[in-house]
Amino acid sequence: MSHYVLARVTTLTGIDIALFDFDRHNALYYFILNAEEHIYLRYGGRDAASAMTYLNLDSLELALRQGLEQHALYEAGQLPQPAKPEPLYPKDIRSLNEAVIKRGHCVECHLVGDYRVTEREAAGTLNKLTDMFVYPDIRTLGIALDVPKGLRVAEANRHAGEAGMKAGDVITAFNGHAVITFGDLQYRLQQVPRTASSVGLTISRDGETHSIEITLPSQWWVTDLTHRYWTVDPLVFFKAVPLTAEAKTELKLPANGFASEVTEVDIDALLEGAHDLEEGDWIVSVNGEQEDSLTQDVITHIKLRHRAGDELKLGVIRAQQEIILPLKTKRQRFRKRE
Amino acid sequence: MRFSLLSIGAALGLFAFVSATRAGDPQQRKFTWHHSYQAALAEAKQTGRPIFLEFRCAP
Repeated sequence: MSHYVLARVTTLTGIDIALFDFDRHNALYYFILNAEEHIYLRYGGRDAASAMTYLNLDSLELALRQGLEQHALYEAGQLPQPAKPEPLYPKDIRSLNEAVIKRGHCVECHLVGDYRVTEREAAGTLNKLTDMFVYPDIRTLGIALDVPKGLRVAEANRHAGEAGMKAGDVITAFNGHAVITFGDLQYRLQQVPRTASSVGLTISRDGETHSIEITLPSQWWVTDLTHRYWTVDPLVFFKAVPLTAEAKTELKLPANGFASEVTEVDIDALLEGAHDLEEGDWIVSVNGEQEDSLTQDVITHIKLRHRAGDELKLGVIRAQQEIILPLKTKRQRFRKRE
Repeated sequence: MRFSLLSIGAALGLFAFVSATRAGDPQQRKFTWHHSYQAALAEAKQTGRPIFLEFRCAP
């Protein structure tokens, strides 16, 4: 660590968010760069299951070593110097500037993401069906990493396997951009247009370099949204888990439907008069719909297909009787907005 | 945002461990962290060292 200048930033005020572009739903994220703001690598990234899935003692140490190697290459003039993006600061996001910066509040990472989304919602340019799925999961492509070893592939199956990727390969470039860490790889995958049909990777295998092209599966960008919270999400005041395949079959519900069992009812449901759901209720429809091509989770379905504040009709099975219950959703408010 | 305190704590603990035990520093020497990005840039320019920059969204 003594080879580095260490900096810890806890507010994005004054930070060039175009240069330091990362998944704003990470509580921790790292960059290694030089005094000319040439970014060598990123370290961070997560999945829905855990903030720690890709943070690992060995991979962090490896990234620190690789950062020093990149720095030496840069100093020797052996690294390409890509153009920097046009600077963008939090104050340039009008609503964020008005509601947070001018009031002297901290510009937290997630607020930057959230205000940009709410501005697009207000402008009518937000397409929730695609725009809410950010930082896709590399496992959708069939790539599982040996996390402690950086971008070494632990398992390649499905589309990656069909493209020729094998366990033990080390991914070194993605669509022509050098990648060193999982953070780099996930960032480059996020940049891929959702209409793309394939991506090109460079891999190192037994000291040799190979190029492969992975055909992207349909809706490759769809990810688990359960760890992401946005102002545009309708608050539903309950938690639920999808019904098992057996339960759906028994109830003659669509196998790919989003029928779910209520596992927890928030106390705010009573205070807000939001709904009369009970733990153990089975929600089998929302406004008459039972299926959603993007999800089999009822709460994600409501997030994607309805606006915050909508009033909905839930088809619910309780004590073997199907009933219709109203659900009054509400708009999320983060604490720094008021 | 409902960030997990446990996750943040675990990550920070991980980093502290690396800092103390894997960087050749068994005495658990404390490193100096800039809390100003501009100050870190200035030191990097002066010393020629790269920057390890942490974005930490405290809950």
